[in-house]
Amino acid sequence: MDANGLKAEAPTGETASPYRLIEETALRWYRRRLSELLLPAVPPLLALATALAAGRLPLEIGVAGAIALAILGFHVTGLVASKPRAARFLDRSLGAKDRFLTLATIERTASLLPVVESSATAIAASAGDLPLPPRRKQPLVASVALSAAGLLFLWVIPELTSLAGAGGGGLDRIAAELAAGNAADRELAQVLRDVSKTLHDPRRSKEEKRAKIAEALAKLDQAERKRQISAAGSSGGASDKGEQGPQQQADGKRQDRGAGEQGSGQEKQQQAGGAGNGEGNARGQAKQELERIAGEIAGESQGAKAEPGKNTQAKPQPSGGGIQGPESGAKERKPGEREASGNQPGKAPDKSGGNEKPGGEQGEAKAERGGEQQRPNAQNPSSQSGPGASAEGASQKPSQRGDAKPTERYYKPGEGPGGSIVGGQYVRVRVPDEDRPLAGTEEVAKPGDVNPEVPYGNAPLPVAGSPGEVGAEQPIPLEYRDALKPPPP
Amino acid sequence: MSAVSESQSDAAQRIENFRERFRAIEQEVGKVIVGHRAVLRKVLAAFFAGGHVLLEGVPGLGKTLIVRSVTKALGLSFKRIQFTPDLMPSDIIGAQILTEEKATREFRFRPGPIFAHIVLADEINRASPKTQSAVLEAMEERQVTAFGETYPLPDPFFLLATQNPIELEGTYPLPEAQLDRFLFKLLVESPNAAELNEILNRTTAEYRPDVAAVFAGEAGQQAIADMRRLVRQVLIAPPLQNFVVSLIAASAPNGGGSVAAVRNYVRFGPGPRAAQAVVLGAKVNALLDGRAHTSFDDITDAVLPAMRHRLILNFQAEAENVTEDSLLTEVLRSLPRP
Repeated sequence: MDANGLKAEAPTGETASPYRLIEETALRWYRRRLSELLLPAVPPLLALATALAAGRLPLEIGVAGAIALAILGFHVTGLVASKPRAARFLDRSLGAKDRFLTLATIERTASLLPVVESSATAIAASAGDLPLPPRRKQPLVASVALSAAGLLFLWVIPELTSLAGAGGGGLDRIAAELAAGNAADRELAQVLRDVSKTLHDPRRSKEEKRAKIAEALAKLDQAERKRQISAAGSSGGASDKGEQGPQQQADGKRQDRGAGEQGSGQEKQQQAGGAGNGEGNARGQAKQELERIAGEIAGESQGAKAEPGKNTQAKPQPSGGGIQGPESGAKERKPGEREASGNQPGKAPDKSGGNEKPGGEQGEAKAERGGEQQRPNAQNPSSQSGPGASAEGASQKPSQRGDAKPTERYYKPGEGPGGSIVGGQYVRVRVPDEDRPLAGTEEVAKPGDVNPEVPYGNAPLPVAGSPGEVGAEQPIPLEYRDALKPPPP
Repeated sequence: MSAVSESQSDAAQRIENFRERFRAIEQEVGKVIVGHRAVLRKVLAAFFAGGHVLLEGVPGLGKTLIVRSVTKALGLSFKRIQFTPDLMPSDIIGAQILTEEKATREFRFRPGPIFAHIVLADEINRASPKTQSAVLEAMEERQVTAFGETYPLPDPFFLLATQNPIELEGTYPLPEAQLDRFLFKLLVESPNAAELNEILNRTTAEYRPDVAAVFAGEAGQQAIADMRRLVRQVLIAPPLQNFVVSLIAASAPNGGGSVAAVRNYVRFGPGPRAAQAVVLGAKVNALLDGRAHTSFDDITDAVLPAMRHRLILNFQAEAENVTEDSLLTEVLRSLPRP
């Protein structure tokens, strides 16, 4: 094996025809370029893999970086198995005066081609071991530069909140949100960053990490209490609600406080609630994230013996698409609750405040109350009752506040502001208790279960009096006739 | 022996014959001509490539002698036309004369001096454009038309023209269309001291060498035809041919890849005939090297004689003493090797 590492496959001019010689040279050229590409690329790829394994680099960024590295490498090395290029190389290295180039590019039917072939063969035979193109420095230089750039990038990643947030934890992202707030929040942001660094530090033990998390949680609680006190002091006499607003946000609970929202302090109170809402959410998320991480650490330490219920309890609910309190995700919920209310039409969260989250605490609502909830809440926000009404001022849009009525003529039939449903009706379908999955549902009926009530889509039914009106007694669609049974008497 | 190897040996033999005959002509002409080896080689190359040659040089350098010697060595018919301002086209092409035979008078076409295998148009730039244009058809189509009749010229037909670059008074520079019909334009340089000594020895002594014919009779003409056919069979790799195309484009001021010097100094660039001339010249060079394929060096060797008279420079180039050869050298340098 020579310096190129390819001696064993190198063709000798004595046995190879010019065409075979060109092909083998092209192949060797390709291998050389491939090795030039891959070998120097190992350090940056290893760095990427290490960063991926340590959770320091988001997976998407790592994959994109690897692909970009490969493309760059292919571009730099010109990795193309080209016969003309190999022939040109043979011509130059053997002094063949473009014989191999002619053989590689010209049609084999030419009359004088045998003369070129024989002379090229003779030259190749006299040349002995055929050389390879010299190694190039560009791939090595590129590898060093890329490795340096990659290490620098990995070093900077924790400071890049957008990237860090996309990775594991999300503490840095929450810290970035908090850092945009007041001084107390900035302190909390620093605490979260410290926790994040501690978590990413492989030298720290789990106990240390857990202690750090506990410390951060304590600071979060402390800051929350301070903020509540200061909010109570600033909102004055009309701030019954204001005191409770942050608490409410921090706890993730939305209570009905319709009566307390009347009077002149209503607007002010709403604004205070709105301000407290964003900060409280960030803190709530931080608390939730910390609790989740603590749960994971505890789960790891307990190993396989850990109870599955604990982990699921610590994890946020997947249905938490909206803004939710820190405890809302941890709140254990029965499947039936969510099914009964999560997709209820008329449970419009838009008019009563953007903080309402379908599938959250609304699970207590009954399906039969849908008719009440279809009332336009913007007409009198204070008169609202029911879950979620307390958070109404938090993120209410100006057009939805007070006397600003939505321009209903621009909504599609059956839709209201913010994607809510207007004029919706229920269809209750009773599915026979057979052991088979139901398409379009998340639950599978088991034998012996109570017949689940499966809510179907939010498409509005035709209004009364219009063609295709649906009455209370509607026929079962043909495709369901064999699947449905009449309800028990 | 297989058919392939037979054809291979046959082709190799043809190439070797070409080289030997070419060398023989060079040797015979070399008995008379001192120096001018490159010019002589290019003249013969143009002859076997099927083109015409314009020789440029001051008087007394042996231009006419080169042509006469080559003609003798080739064993072909030869005519010489001294171009003067009062030369008429009919003096070249021929004229109808009244003949009387058996009491019958009729006009008959009497061929002019253009009807020969090799024609020397001496000091071609001294004739009027009307007369110069009389040879246009002969150069390109190997035929002349007189009084409505078309007469083919003998095959091979080879026109060698000379012009004096210094005595420009009373001359008519060749038009671009006529210049383009010359395959090569060769510059005849003055001899150096050693060559001049040898010239004196050969021309002032009692013994004066003579040129013997390498080809003679019908067989000789057939051999010349075979050699000319072999030139066309030489292979050229597509990348090299693409290089020639790029070269032509780079030499034109409006071409895609023209260099700055070309844009500054060239009024008109070379046309397709230039590319043909470069490739044909390169093919002859390859055969002279015993190869059946063209190499990059063959092409670069043919560029200057094939393209220098096809670059029409502007006034700025003349004012700055920029020559066609320097421009072409720069173009060659600017193009990447295929």
